[in-house]
Amino acid sequence: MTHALLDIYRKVISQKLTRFEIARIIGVRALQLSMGAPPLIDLSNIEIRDPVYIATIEIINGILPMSILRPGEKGGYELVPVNRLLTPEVREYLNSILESWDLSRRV
Amino acid sequence: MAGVLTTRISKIKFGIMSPDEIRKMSVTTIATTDVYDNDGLPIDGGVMDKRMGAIEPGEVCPVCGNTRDSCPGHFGHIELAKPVIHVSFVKYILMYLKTTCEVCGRIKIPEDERQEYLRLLRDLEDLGLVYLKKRFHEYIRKKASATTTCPHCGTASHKIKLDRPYTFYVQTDKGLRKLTPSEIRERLEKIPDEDVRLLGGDPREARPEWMILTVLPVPPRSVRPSITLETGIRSEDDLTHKLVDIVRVNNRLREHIESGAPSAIIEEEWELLQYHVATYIDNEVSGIPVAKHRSGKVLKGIAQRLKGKEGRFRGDLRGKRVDFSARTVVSPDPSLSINEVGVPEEIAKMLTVPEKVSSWNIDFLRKLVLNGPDKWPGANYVIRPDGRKISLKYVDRKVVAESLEPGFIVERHLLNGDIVLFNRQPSLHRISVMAHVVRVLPYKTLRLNPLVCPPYNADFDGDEMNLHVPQGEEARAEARILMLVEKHILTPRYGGPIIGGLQDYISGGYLLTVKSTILTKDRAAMILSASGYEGSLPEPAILKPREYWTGKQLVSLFLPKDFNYRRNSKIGSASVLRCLDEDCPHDSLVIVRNGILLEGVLDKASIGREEPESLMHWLIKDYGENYGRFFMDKVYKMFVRVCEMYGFTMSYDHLVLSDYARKSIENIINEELKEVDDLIKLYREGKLTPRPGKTLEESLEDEIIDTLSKKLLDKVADVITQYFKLTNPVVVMARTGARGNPVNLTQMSGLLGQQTVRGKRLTRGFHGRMLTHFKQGDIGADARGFIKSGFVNGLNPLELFFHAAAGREGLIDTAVRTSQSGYMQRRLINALQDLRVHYDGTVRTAMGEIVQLLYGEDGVDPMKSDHGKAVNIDRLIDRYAG
Repeated sequence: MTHALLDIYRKVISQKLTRFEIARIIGVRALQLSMGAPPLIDLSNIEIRDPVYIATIEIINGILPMSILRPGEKGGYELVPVNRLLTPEVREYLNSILESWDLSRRV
Repeated sequence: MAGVLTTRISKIKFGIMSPDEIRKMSVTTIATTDVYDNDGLPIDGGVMDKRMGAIEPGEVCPVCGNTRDSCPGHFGHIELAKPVIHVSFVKYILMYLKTTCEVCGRIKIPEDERQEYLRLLRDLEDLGLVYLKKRFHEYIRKKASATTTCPHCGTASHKIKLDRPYTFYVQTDKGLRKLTPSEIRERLEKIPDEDVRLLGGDPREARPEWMILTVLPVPPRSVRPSITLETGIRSEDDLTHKLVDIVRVNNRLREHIESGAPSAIIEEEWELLQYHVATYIDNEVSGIPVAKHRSGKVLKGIAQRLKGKEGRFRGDLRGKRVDFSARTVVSPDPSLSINEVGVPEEIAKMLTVPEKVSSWNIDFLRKLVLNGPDKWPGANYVIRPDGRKISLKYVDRKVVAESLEPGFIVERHLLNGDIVLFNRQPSLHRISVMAHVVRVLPYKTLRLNPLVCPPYNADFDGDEMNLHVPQGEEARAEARILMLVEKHILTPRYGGPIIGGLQDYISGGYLLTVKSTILTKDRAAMILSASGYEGSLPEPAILKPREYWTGKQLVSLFLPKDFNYRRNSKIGSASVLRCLDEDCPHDSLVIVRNGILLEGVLDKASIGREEPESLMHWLIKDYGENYGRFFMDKVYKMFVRVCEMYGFTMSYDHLVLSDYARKSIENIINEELKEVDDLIKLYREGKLTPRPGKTLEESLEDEIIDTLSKKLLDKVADVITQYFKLTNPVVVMARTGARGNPVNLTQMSGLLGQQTVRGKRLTRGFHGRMLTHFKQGDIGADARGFIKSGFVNGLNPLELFFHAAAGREGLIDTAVRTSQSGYMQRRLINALQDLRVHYDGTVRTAMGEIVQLLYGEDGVDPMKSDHGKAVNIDRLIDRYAG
């Protein structure tokens, strides 16, 4: 029973970004942006100039060339591109994060 | 991180300092009790010797040549005239004495077995089996101490007795003989290294004889600084005082020995030295008096500095004070979003966020720099790429703003839309710390939406809360993505919504959706405007004689178009108002079809907090926490608006019963009292049948309590409900679950009934009676805490005392519960804090040891579950089949 559940669990995990991975990736990208990395999207029609916001949009648009180092089979590690883990569920989660800026716009 | 050398600490090992080591690291020996000379300078060889490190400003250390800022401090030492026992190691000294031979000093285990054990020990060490090794040593100790004759030299061993805290005796044929520390040290010296290892010691780091002190290390001056008071008088640290005591006794003891004083005197001084050294190390040892100042203040030993909540570990190392935080009183602001926190402008100007200048924010930051520190929104500091920090208070801000370039860092004020962490102690939950979006507001309190009170357990009777501003991009991203309030609407305990309507939200929800509420166009618009709704009004429910809208229509505007729901409401939990199917006059069955609220009133069971499987819960489950936040931010505001427009309030009049009702309640009370009298009569005559397993007295008490509390209150409640209809605001609150319950209604309008302490009638007080207003041995209802009046009519003085006695029990219970749960919390956190779910699905400790193969052994995240179950089949059928 546990084995069957573990298989399901691993399958589900292997197909999506966990919220902790989302936080990590957005955090890293936001740090890059704040240190002066050029944004990968056109900023002219984006009002909110928060690196975390820009990083979130980049990841939603699937243009962030980043990978996650995950433990693979038999004790090894594998590099998984972020774009491959962008399920509709993950996109929904990311969009809900974007809404938190709409509450009170910056001055 | 280029060029940074990183090393990892793989382990830390603690040992005992050997006398050689202590002497080697010492810069001076302390031999005199004088501390300062007549000029106030430290005396060489005194406990404040200059060589033990520079602590005064401008002082240069004679040993390392550094000033006070960079001198690490140096140890000194005291040569003890006679060895003394280190109190903290008494346990181990006893163990070594018991397990080894007093003559040859070897472990009391035969040679062949000893070799075998040594081999096993090596294996255990090679395999790294830490826990098994501990049990192995315990086994050997037990075995060795049980042996009575030494297998090596054949000496019969004597029993060792320990008189705590530090006196050892040996049981000889002639009786108990005291073992001096010198004798003990001699015995411990004889134990071979290998035997020490077998007993769990490490001869390289902690030879057993080092547990007996022959040299006492004296800590550097910086460890025990003296303070100069305003009057110019120097006040020394407790440790310094203690060290002076030790030196004084030590010198006296040495003189006695050198002058060949009688052994009784030497013994006495030795004992005193032992006392001072023991209290210097730990002044809370049981069995000896605590060392005190002349003023009577208890001295702090070394152990007291480290131990406990305010000690070095828990108080200073694990708990630190932080910058970029604020704390004030909180107050409610229902117009905020649940994700927001209102921050006073004054605080927003003090707290800053470092923002690096880049091409896309330079214009914005220039404006902030121009505004400076006193005008919000502004900035307090600019940090140039070379690390220079420029305060904007004292410079020409125009010049600084002009000079701004990518790479600069601006420490700008807290602005609307920033993310901050908000916390209220005690932090028992992960939801005691959540991320909020800042909204800068006037006035001086932190403000939060009253809907988020439950997770923090906050109210507004003076509660204070803390606010922390994350300073890095990674921290801000984590806060927003993982800790935002809306991500915590569902509790990780069982998956129900912990944030939800309470009090006025519930009353308002009922008033809006009750059948009798019909709204004219302007009223409907007024209510909708509270939610910020911008669409058009739906078709009115009533067209003639005027256009009217129902409250249900307004709520339906915010429900998703494919949402179905069917469940009883809270008012339907009372049997008189229960609805079994759709065709029912009470309107207590909530039915939503295709996003339209067709029937039923919204009350606690639909929109309340901690109500699993409620309307709110299903909305969140099906449409996301995001939608839940939207619903709470919009619709719940309408509920409050309805309350305001209705003028929802309660008064004394709403609780007063008619004379007729009052009379019938009195009749019921008298009837039951008569029954109690009959019971007592029966008991007095000895005709009462005892209940199984109870004495006659206990049976009588049980019968009386049953009669007076359960039966009586139910009967009275039945009478009262006839008169209290849902038009009465008090009843609205009680029935909808907004506040109070039907029992409270009986207590106010009817009677309080039997008061109890620990489930028994009130008995304690005077001999044979509770109050002196009754005869001794009176066991009637009145004498034992029965209250005939309700709050509306008022209690008589005797009743008031009964009520106070029973009320006190509740207060004591809460006080005891909080302290107990606080301790439990601490221990649970210590046990569980490092557990983590890994990618392979296992739950592991920090060391990688597996705790569970699958989280919770079923892999279910309780936050996303239905009461711990992965799926709720009934709900799925409901949702899709309708």
